[in-house]
Amino acid sequence: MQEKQPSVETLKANQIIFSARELTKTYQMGVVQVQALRGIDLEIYAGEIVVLLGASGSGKSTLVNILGGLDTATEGEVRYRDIELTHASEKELTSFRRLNVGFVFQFYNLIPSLTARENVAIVTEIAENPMKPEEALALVNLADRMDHFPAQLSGGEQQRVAIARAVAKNPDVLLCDEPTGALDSQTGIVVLKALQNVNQRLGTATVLITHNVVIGGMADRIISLHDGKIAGIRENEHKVSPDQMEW
Amino acid sequence: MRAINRKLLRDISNMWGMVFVIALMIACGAATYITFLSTLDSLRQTQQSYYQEYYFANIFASLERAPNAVGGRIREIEGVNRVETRIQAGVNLNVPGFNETVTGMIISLPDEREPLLNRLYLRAGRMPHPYTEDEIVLGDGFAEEHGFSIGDRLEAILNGKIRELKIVGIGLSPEFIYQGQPGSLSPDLKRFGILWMRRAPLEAAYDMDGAFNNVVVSLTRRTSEKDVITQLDQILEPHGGLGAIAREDQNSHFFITEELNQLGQTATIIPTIFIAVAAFLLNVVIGRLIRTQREQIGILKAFGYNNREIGLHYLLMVSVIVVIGLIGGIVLGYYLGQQLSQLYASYYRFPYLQFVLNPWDLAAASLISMAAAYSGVFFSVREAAQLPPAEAMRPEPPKMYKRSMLERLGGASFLDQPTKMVLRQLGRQRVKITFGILGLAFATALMVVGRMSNDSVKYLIEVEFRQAQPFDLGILFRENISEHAVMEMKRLPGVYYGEGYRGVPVRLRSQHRSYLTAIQGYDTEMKLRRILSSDEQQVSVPARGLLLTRKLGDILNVQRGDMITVHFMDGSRRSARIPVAGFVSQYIGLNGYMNIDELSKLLPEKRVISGAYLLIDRWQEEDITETIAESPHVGEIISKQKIIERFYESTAQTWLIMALFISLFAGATAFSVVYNNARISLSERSRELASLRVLGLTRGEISYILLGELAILVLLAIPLGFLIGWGLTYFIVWSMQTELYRIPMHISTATYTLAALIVILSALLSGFFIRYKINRLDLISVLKTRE
Repeated sequence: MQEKQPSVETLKANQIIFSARELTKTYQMGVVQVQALRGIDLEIYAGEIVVLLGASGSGKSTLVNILGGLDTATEGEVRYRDIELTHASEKELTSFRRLNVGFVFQFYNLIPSLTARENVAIVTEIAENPMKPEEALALVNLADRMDHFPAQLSGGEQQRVAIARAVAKNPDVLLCDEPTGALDSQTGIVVLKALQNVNQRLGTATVLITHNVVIGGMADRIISLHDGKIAGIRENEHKVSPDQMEW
Repeated sequence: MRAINRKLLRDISNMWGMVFVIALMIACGAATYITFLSTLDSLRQTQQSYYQEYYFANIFASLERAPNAVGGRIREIEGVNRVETRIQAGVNLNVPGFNETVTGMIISLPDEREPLLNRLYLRAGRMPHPYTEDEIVLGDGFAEEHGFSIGDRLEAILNGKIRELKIVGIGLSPEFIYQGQPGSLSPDLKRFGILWMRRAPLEAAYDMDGAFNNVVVSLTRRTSEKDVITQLDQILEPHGGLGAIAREDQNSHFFITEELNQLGQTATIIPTIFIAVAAFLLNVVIGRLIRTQREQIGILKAFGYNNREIGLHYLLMVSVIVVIGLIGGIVLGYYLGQQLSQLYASYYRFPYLQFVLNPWDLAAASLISMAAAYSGVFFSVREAAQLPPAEAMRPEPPKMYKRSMLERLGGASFLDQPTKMVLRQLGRQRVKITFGILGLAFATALMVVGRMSNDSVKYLIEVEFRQAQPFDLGILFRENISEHAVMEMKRLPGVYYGEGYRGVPVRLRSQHRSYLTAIQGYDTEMKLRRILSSDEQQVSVPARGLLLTRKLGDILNVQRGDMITVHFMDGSRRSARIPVAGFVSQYIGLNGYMNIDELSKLLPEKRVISGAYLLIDRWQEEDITETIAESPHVGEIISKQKIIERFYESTAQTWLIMALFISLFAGATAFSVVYNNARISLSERSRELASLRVLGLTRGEISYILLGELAILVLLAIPLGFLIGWGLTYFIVWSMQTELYRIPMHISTATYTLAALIVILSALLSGFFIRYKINRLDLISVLKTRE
């Protein structure tokens, strides 16, 4: 497995998919101004797994929301390949999310009225070059649970459906906000393996938010955030499989 | 203040929009209820006390002429309390600057005292001085319409002689609360005036020295009207008695009673619908509130609040909303009730209005509102009180869905995912959806019912006047004359065609049942006056036998082929036994119809006519009327067009106000139902919809998921609303039919269209507001936080 992975240098030489320059974000919370990001410079490369580590309030979710086109920065610049996200309209952001980004949420956010297969289909129906919903579900080992409704699936299964839904459109990047936050460790590992599997098979760049240091073990790079600033970027030389992680 | 009560106030102020809509619905229900019932109570109360204070008679009789001594015999009938003999006559009036025929009625006042019965209420001026030649009191409605005041003079034709009368008083009497020509459909204050004059000058004018031609009687308690009428008829028979009638058949009393009965119907049905819809809304909003407060309930219970306290907390919250609504409703109802009573009181010429707000009505409105509200929240509150704290503090698990019926039947392959979501949502929330559909359906039904009187009366006029009465002018002769009169009229320029008929007042009797009416003698193929069967086909007058209005047949309890006794109440005073040849349909009035030749044989007389119908060139109506009026034989000329115009004139405003009022309420109802439904769906599903937005669905695409559900709701509700509206209309028509007045069951396409349009527009408006909220859906907050 290890040999098949491209080295970090090759990745850098390859392509930058996201680049952020001097990103700041200020929220007005009632009478209080909250500075969530205070000048972030960052690149995300094609095909890599990046783990964003930080305590709650460190700004990691804000950063991912801006990268994913859910939110806009107060100052600074974000680009996705040729697309300038900083000043994009609501319509352009929707189209950007629709075609390029896959989201995985902490609480899965499946549509309760649709089966696993249909939860994937709702995304493939509007994508440009999707895989079949069945294919995506097979990728996360749920081929036999395709016609179940969310209420009939366990938490881990629901999160794997969410991963299948995120990757089925063949996005360049997968943004995962605390994907194991609502799961016990055993189930969490199964979900992380699914993410790793997708990354290896499809080469989808994956940004994974967590406050769990252990998960950093599966990343190519670990970026630590503290108080709205990047506290450190570390390249992981000894990637481990989620199987070998424990928390 | 306890913290839990502070929470209650905060919750209410946080969802003030919803609270407002619900309180508004309760207020509408209570206000409608109080408005109509207080109007009804006030008018009934006013009527009662007016009758009592001004000695409204119990029995009324007209006759040709009887010497005053006969009055003494009437006084001796057992059970008779007061008797007033009078002279009463039809008059023609000349109103300067008003070019239409104006008729009136002049009634004698005793020379030196107040009348014993049917006393006058003087709005202005004084009673005529005894033995003055020309002083009159004028009916106040007529005076007001034409701007007559004390001291003015009014030209009247009394017994063929023009007299200039001096108005010394303006007054009204319980006998003419409803003022209109006999046979007209609505009060007509402009073209029909009431005049009161001292008796001596009237005796002189009508050659009635020492005689009377009208008598009114009041009864002692517990006296049978029927017995007195029978004896009165016997006494008056030799003097040309036309048959005494009881108060319930007296024109003014009858119409007032009809109107109050109709009001009574409206007073129950419309508020019931509003209260039902309010209960539904309350149910939904409380259910939603409790769902959003799951965690709080869990925490409260974890702190040790018990189920009873939590249940009470929510009941209290609902009570606050109900009380806000009720206060608004009572204040609004009190105000509108006064306005509406005032409107009716002036329409019917009550001298004053006793506004009553019955405490029982207030209690009933409050009780109904509270019962509706509490029954609406009972289940959701019970559910809230029963949640175990741990369960309440966990986020709700994903709800269980099933494939929709359509998919199970195999029709799903072409459906996209959003459409499946819509269908499954409908399938899962059957109770909520059913209530939503019912709420909208009732709003639609309300519109249909609201326009019922409009539709039905238009239809009635169409059938009664345009189909059954194709004539343009109706002429009543002063006495029965030869048919040559019609021939002469036909020769007038502009008259196309004419037909004569013989009408005769009769009392029909079958066993112990009897009814006072008239028989119309027609030629077999009468063209200008058609008799219609119940399916509105023309029925020709049979050579033998009597056709009866269906309702009259019911009153007399006779079948086709039965023999009935006919007492002719005109000069001949004869009786005959005639077979019932069949039944016909007639919306206004009850009559018998027979062949004119057979009628002549029975009376017996040479073939004569008492009236005629003419078909004319409408452009020449005025000239023709003027020419005909010059004939000494002609008593009254009726213009059909004018009757119809007058009717619309007098009712149009009432209808407009009523229709506007109901459309507004129905529109508000439809709006709140759709808005609440959508608003609740949106808040329940905001997480789901926001997730889809994150996944790249556009605002339009997620609006479809939410509003598609509502569109289906509206589309299902409208036909159901038509059906409910039809049913309610049928019920109202059925419960309102009376002896003389039957309302046809008819709902126009325009009404259905309008109802659907109002509901759809209200739905679109709500959809617009919801779309605005969808556009502002916060994508970030729903991703992290639980609901």
